[in-house]
Amino acid sequence: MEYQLGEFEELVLLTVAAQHNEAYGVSIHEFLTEETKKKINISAIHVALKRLEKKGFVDSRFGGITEERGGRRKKYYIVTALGKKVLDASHDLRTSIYQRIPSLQFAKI
Amino acid sequence: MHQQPPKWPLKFLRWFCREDYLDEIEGDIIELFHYRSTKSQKTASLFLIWNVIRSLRWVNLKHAPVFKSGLIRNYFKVGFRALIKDRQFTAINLVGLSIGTAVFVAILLLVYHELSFDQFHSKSDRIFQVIQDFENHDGSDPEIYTSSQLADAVRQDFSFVENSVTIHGAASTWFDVSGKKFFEEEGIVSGPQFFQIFDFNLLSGDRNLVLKNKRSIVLCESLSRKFFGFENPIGKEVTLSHYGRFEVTGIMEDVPANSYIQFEYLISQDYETYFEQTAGWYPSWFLSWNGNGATTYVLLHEAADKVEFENQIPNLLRKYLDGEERPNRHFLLSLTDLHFGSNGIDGRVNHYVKGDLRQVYFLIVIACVVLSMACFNYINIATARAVRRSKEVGIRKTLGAFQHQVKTQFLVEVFVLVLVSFVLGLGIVSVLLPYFNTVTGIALELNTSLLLKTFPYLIGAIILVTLLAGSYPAFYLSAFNPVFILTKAKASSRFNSLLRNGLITLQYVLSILILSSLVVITRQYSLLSHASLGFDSEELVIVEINSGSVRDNFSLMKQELLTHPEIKNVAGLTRMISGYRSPTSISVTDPDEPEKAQPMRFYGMDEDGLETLGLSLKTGSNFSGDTRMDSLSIFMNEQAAKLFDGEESIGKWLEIDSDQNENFRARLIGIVKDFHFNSLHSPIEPVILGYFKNPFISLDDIVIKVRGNSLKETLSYIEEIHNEYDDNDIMTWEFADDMAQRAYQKELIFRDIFMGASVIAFCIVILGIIGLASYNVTVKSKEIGIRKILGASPTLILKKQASQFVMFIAIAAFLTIPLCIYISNKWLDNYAVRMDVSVFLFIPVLVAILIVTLLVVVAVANRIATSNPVNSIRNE
Repeated sequence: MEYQLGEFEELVLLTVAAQHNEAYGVSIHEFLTEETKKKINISAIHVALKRLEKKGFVDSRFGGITEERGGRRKKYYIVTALGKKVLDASHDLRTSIYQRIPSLQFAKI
Repeated sequence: MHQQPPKWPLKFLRWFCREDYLDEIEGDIIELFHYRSTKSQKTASLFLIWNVIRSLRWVNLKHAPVFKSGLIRNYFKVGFRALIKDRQFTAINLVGLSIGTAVFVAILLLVYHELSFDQFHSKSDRIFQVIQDFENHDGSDPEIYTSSQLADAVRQDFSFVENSVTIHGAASTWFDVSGKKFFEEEGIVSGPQFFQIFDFNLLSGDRNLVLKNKRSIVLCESLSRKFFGFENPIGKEVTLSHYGRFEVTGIMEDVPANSYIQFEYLISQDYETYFEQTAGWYPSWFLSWNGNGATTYVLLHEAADKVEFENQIPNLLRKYLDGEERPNRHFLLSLTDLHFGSNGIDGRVNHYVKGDLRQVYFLIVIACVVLSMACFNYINIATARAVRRSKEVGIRKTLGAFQHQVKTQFLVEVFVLVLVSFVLGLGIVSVLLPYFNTVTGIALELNTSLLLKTFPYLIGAIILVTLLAGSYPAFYLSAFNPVFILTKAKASSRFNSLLRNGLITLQYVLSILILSSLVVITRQYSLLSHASLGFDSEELVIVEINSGSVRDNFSLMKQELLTHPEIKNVAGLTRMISGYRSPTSISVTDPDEPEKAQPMRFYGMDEDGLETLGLSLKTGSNFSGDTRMDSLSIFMNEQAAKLFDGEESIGKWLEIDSDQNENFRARLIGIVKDFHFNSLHSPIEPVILGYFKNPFISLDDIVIKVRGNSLKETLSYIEEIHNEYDDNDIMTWEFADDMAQRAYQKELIFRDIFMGASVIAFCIVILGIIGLASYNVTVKSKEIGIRKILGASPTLILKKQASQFVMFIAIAAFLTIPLCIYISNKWLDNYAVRMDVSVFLFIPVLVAILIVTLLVVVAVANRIATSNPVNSIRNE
């Protein structure tokens, strides 16, 4: 695979794809903190989104102004065809390697 | 409820962040803030700031040259490298600046505490305390006490008064909480308006209802914990030995330390039943318009003016007082002014301690001095070692750098240093704050919400310190002429060395000033606390009388006490002589000259009073021991005798009037030598000593002179006897010495803080001297080498190194000592008992500074002075 995709970037891209058409900073933040049970800074998500957009994996559009955002617009992200392809490839790679794990009996740790 | 996010972090974000990213970043941050603020506003604000800081990333920055110029990065990089390279220089400045910051922050925390008194009430600008002025011939004599009837009357009669309430200090009392007993001292009695006027935070209970019913009590949180643990106390019953049974109707957050009104519990008004057990004139006096036993607070309407109140109050008082009586002047003092404005106004409720604005200003000055000392160190050392950086500047300039760019570079370097020092300084404060608090006796806190509130000021202080320390070195270094620097090896400027010498001298001036003040302050305070008061306060135990049964059986109790071999003398006093508690005001008239009434103070004592207190009679004889005769006899002190015919007045009958319009005639039987009954701030006033059975004031203290052996055993005997006569109260006792000291509590705290700050300031100066001396030695290593080759001894070289510092000290001493003398005299004018100031007082300070400086210089220069000159001269 020639495209670079970091682990955190992949998580963000997956979330964008999962929250189809409705993904924006706060929603991704909420989703990821809940799923990973880790503290994630919103700024890290912003950076990841910027990178994904630059690489062409996601597209963005602006939503309407809401009061609770202090008069700022939401920036929605949507996964592009290329992004979807990258996710598929990554998923395939992982599953194919995973399937090669011989079925061993692991001793209890 | 929609919380507003804090403004300045968002402003900062908008300043640095790219416009096209702002919608997303700011919007998301604000939205997250709103989610979190439903739980806690404080943590939400903290998160917001953290998010803003984390968003300060390269990719998010605007495309302005300030942000995206590679130079800025270069400045930081070079700055860090320069700081790491010259470790000694960095260490000296880092230590100096961080200690300086720590002192600065700690003192400002204290100042902030002092200046924030009563600001937490939302209506604080409209709340006033009514002050009653007992004007007499001397001028005004204001007190915080008014009639207990005043609050209700002004609320009904004055349309511009929105609300008003009476507060009355409760007696120290036993609490019975389902069988467990607790002794509590800090209580107040107040009306249902209390929580409508003041914003004390009620944790449970309805603000309007908690004090509405009689027999209600509101407990502070910590007291409730103490009584009930973690149970819900609402509706539970407690019994107070003085006041009877109460139902707990509310729990309040503990009273903040920066509140004028201090208490731990609050009971609703029901004076008639509270006074059921109190015999005598007190209850009816307290409840009458003539009484002045309560404090009154009013809340004015927004449009109202306090002048309006002061203009109309005489009419109101005339309406309620008996026709003939002329009402005392009443005026209003704003709640927020009480802490500093109430000097000279008598009275207080519970353990509140008045503030002193002069001390606060003094502390601010000291904080700034300590921090500027650290800045001067930086300027001194940075300009001295400028040569090291001159080549770098030359090259930068040759390659096309403008002067302002070089300047920015050096400022960035200082900024990095100052930033790190501030963080370290805050760390030091947060670690050492508990120790500081034990010194000040105030629970100061360096918490997140305070940091949040003062964050912009902290940033401002960092920038200010950066500019103060860095401006001149940056200007000086950036002004180098590149051709000159790169061709000749050395750059020196006369102004530069002049400035450096000037700054060192200034540091010495400030050190001498601070250390001399320290000497004066310590001497004066020790003089105050050990001054001969005119009576013998040693081995004197004062026991407070809290119950009528002790008063009634005093002579029996006295006999019983005297049987103990360790007890020398026992006397009853209406009030112990001490600056901590003010005596009764009276006026004294000679019936032959009725128009000349003299204002005086009054103490009552029994026939053993003079002997027990060690007061000496100048002329006349002691009380006879016959109550009927003695109650009509009085003594006066020398000051009072001066107002009459001196010794010739003995035997005269004088008319004595009290504030409360009671009076009696008594015969003057003696003159006692002057003694200090006030704190030593004020001169000795004329005073009358009468018998303890008098119409004005009842027996209040038992004074017991003990022998110094087995004190513990003696005290427990006294306690045993006390409890025999008063089973309601815990015995409250104190040594007269300690009581006298208490008048200077605030001064002693101030002295301790000042001592700490001045020692630290001097240490910072020493640090600077170490830096400068060691730099001088390095620069002059070749010169020293040559001198040694030509036969100079190490001693001679050390002498030469030290001589310039001695010179600085001499100049500083010459400039400062007259100033010290002037300032000390000015300050000492506030005290009635004061030390003498002379030049000799400051000589130990000078000697100390000289010795420390010489030690430092010798220690630093010794290595070079004794080393082999070959090492420094050889250049291969």
